[in-house]
Amino acid sequence: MLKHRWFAFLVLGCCLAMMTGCWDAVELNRRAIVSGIGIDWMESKSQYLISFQTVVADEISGKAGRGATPTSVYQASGKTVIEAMRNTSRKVPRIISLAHTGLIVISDDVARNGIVDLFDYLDRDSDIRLTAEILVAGKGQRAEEVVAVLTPIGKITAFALAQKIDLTSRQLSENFRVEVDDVIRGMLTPGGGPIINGVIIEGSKEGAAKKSNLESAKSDGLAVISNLAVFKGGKLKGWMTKEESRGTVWIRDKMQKTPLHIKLENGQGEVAFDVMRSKTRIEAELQDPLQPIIRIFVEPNLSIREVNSSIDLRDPHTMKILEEAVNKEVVRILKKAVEKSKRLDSDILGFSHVIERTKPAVWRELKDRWDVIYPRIQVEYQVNSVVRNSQMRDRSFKHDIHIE
Amino acid sequence: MEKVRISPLQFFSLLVLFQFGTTLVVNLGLQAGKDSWIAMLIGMIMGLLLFSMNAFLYSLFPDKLPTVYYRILLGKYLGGFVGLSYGVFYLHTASRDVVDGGLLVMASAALKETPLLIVNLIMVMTVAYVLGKGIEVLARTALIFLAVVLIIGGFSLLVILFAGIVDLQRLLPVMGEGTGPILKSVVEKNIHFPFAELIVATVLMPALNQKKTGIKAGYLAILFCGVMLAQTSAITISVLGTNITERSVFPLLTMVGKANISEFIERTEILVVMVLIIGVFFKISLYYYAALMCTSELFKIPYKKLIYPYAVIILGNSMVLSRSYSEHLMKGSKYLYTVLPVFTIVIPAVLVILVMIRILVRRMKSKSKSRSEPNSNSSPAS
Repeated sequence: MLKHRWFAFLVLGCCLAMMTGCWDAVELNRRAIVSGIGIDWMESKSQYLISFQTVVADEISGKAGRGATPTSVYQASGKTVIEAMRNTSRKVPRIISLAHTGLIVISDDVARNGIVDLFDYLDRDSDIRLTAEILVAGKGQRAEEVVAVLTPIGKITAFALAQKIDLTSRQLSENFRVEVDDVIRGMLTPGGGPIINGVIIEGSKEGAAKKSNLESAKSDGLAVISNLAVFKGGKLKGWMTKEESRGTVWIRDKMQKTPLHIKLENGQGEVAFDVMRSKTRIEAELQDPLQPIIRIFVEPNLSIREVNSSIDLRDPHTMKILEEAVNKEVVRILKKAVEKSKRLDSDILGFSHVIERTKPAVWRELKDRWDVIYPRIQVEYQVNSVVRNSQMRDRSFKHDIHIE
Repeated sequence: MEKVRISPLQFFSLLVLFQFGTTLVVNLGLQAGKDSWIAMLIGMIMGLLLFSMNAFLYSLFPDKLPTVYYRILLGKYLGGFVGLSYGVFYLHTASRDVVDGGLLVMASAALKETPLLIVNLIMVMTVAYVLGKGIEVLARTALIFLAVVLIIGGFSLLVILFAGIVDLQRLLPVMGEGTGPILKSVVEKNIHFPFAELIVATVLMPALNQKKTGIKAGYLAILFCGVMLAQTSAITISVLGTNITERSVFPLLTMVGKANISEFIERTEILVVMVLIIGVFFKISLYYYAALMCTSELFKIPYKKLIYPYAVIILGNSMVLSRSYSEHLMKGSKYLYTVLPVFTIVIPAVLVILVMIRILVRRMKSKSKSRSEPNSNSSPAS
């Protein structure tokens, strides 16, 4: 019995020694929380220049603030991301903690040289989540500048930018959330690549990084979401225009809301629509395996928002005419996106997946020649729009006044 | 053996948690690609068949540990040897699962720089403590933890569905590569992992208090787990796509990490880590217990005396098993279709055949007896 008691004491003693806390816990006041990462290329050293936007906790919480900027950018260079991160330890007094990274900005020139090497780190690391948002800084802009911008609404720029993407994809639908795993899946698409949202700084780049940016009603510089960047494999091939971006979003079935503008025939004026919701379906016809036909079906539901015309919206026939005009307009937008992707020879729209889903056997044959087939692929469009409502009025008051 | 009794419900929860254990955690590759959920379901059906063999043996020898009927069927020496090798097999598999669990905790939770030994030590100590209290305590714990696991599972499922990250198109085309990869995956992996591993249930069965309902609970546990595991694998692939799933060390963890409901509900991985640790805990416990029972019955040593020595063996073995996680997984996937089937498929099948022969022989004998003694009205031996 005595022996047992000794043994129990020994075990308990061991437990006590171990139960004092997590083995490698790092308290919050020893961490520098990174909200965003900017990745640039340093030509002089031929290394990556990584900028960490870190949250200055004292300024965010308010009480202990010294009136400094809410975020601060630390930079270091390295051949790899992890090397750069370790190099920052000479500059930052705390452990760089990537667990809350919400945004990763890649500069245009890094993207043109290829992002494959970067993404292995982002995929593998256990701190960075796959939910981090990816952005490409527009032509001639550097990621470090984007990360350094201070925004008036939302203290932390990286999180504010992520929210901007969310908002614009719901309101304008020329962008959609692109996260780490979306990019990886995109790079793995045969003959295709990811599409990533762009970001540019409007206004002064230097002014946007100063605290004075927050102090004037009209900011010196703002970080703004821009059009989509088209990749082939891991390399940036080109940028889309506004319309091409919208068409891409539409084909990828991420359309939520977007304004459409129709000019009526015979100088009858203009009507502005709002797409309320839309459904896209893509089918592949593989009668001739060498010449697949892709069919895109789009069914948008619209609402009339502005009528600068005297047309009578109570008449179902008018509605029909409007719907047909909308169909034409949507087809035009979709075509632009498809043409752009063909011109850049990158299957960003995922047609290869459609073929694979329809007939896996045919896809296995096509696979090796997809690069050649893709630019010549035949695409057919079928848009069937429905005007659901015209908000609070039917005709415009223009129907009843006769100026001239 | 001592008189312990576990109820069918407890048996069910033990088996469910046992099967969830490492299967939810460990990624042994996706041989079947997008169709791994189909492979899982086929594996489940095979698992039911294997379980029926064990159940059949149990129905003939209720209240007897497998080591006892090995000796009855195979003779004193061969039977004893088989029983002993089962003990070693259980012990080894227990330490493999300790490594699985330890690596999971290190990779997922905050214990990135903690030595594996410490994590494993805590796990083994916990298991040893519970087993010291007896299998009944373990069974009751299982019931409570099953509820915890189901609540967490349901919650995570809801979060994932509402986060809008599930894209079922990633599961298409179904069977695009034909049935070949599926069958290969079933044979190499899905039968064994986790369904054939239910051979440990043979050690638990003698402790059942209701035999028929207990067996039914066993079948139900396999069905339930098969469906849950297939569903989990389908959801993981439809969220991450095959490529990322295949390359992930812990796919489930990565998948749940993707769920984010308007920056309000996010980082629910920690709940999944809980489920995984609970599962691994029960997997280790059952293997550990099976090893204890086999050897204690063979050598007539009370099993409580063996608990601490075995803890040391499991811990030590877990440290020398492999140098790295990839080596551990590589060995593990080979172990699955080389060593494991010997214990889970071949030996039970041989035993079933032996029993059949014995029954046939006895029946023939009794027939010839009843022919020679036509007056006796006694019921036949069968």
